[in-house]
Amino acid sequence: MTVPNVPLVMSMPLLQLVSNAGPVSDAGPHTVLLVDDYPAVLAWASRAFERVGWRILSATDGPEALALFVDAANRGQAVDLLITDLQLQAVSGATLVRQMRALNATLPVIALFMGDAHDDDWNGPILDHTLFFQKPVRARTLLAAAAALVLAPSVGDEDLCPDEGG
Amino acid sequence: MTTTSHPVRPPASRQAYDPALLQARLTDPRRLEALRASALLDGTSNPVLDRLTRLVTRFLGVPISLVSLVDDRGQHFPGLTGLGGWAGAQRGTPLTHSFCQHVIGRDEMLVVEDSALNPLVVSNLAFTELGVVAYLGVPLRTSSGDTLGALCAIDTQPVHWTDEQIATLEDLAMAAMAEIELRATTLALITAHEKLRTQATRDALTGLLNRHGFGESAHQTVALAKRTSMPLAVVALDLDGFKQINDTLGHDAGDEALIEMAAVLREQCRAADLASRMGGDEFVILCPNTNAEAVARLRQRIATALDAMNAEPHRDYALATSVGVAVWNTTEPLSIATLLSAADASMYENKRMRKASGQVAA
Repeated sequence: MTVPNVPLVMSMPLLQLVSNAGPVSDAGPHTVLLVDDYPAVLAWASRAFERVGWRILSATDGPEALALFVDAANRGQAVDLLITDLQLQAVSGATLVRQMRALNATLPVIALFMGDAHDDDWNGPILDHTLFFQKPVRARTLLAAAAALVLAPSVGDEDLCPDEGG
Repeated sequence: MTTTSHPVRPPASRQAYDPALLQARLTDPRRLEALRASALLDGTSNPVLDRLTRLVTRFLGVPISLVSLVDDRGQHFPGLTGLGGWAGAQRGTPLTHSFCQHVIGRDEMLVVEDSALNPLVVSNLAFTELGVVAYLGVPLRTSSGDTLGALCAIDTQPVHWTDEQIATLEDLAMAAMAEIELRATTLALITAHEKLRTQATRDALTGLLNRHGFGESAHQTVALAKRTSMPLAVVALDLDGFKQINDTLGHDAGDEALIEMAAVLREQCRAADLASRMGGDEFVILCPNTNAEAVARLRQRIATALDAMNAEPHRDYALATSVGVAVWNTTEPLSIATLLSAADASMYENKRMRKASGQVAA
């Protein structure tokens, strides 16, 4: 099963929402947890989020990410957003999302994948508060999606993200 | 081959146990992960498990048998014989209607000769609503010791289960478990294979096809073009000033430039186009069913998108490319190598001209 029924490309309403939303500073800096097994991708995404004042946590695999997630929550700086590659080693991106959602049921998630993502695990409630992007994606698009997911809890629902035709 | 010694049947009085233990076992993350890995929880049937339950009904002389996998919300029946009604139709029930959960809670077989006389299950809705009067369930246990559910035999009237029935059910449970584990292993191998394939054919930084992946996919595109005599175009692109970005702004900026360039290409390409990073700052797009006019339009779209990106505020550098194009005209012999080198030559000519006119730093 591929990842179906989800927008692969951000739709215009969402981008407009983001541009109207202004900087993410209403409740202090937000924290993003970045997970990708390729360090250069982590460096790229970290740079982008640092520029707009987010706090960054990053990990190259699922277990490390989960440890950071729990540790951050214990220190009172809970992760506001998870951005993960789907094709991770050891623990799949979907499993990682499920593990974190068990601790925070409404954690916003941006899932990135290469080519045609194959993952049987995506179904049901796990799709809520989740946006998918096929790599490569522009940093600007990621930032827009991040701000929208964190500032507007309803993003990820279908009304904001109709399926893209091509 | 193993020979099964006759199991010792626990007396009904010792079947009660701590409900906290049940909850802990049902929600054990490792157990739940093993259940998910089996991919048998979606309400569909598994033909091998269905046949095993049919054998249970024949060997044990009961009307109903289930392979029941129990997660933290309910039970799922990938194997089923003789169960009608809503539970049979949806191949599962909530935990309120489950005897099998107690096989997990106790982590050993559950023997119920008459539900009406058994305190553990007398108020269970499987008895009061579904009519499960006699029940024999043995654990379905993985090789790493996690109990995923039960293989059970059910009757709608009281049964005095014999040791032989219990032993037969245990033998069939082992066969059911072998099927479940084989399935999980096969699915894991398929996933791992796909992951390796993705890694071998995709550029880890940008997610575009790499040189190897391009070669594999181009092969099919070229074969199709030959068969249908549709035109085929190749666009070769090379970032201008990539070395300067790396040298003056650092490798992180260089990586960012490559990712942004790749994202622009993917956004502007059509679904059938093969956008690839061949290495360094070299990109190639193979465009099926594309003639010279169509490829000129693609080239223009890419240029417009790069201009728009460069016009965004707070950019440290501008992205520009030298571009070369080659089009197969459907009459000459077609070779992807020839097309690629023609596109490359055209790209270098473009870069030379841009350098001569001062558009690119020498």
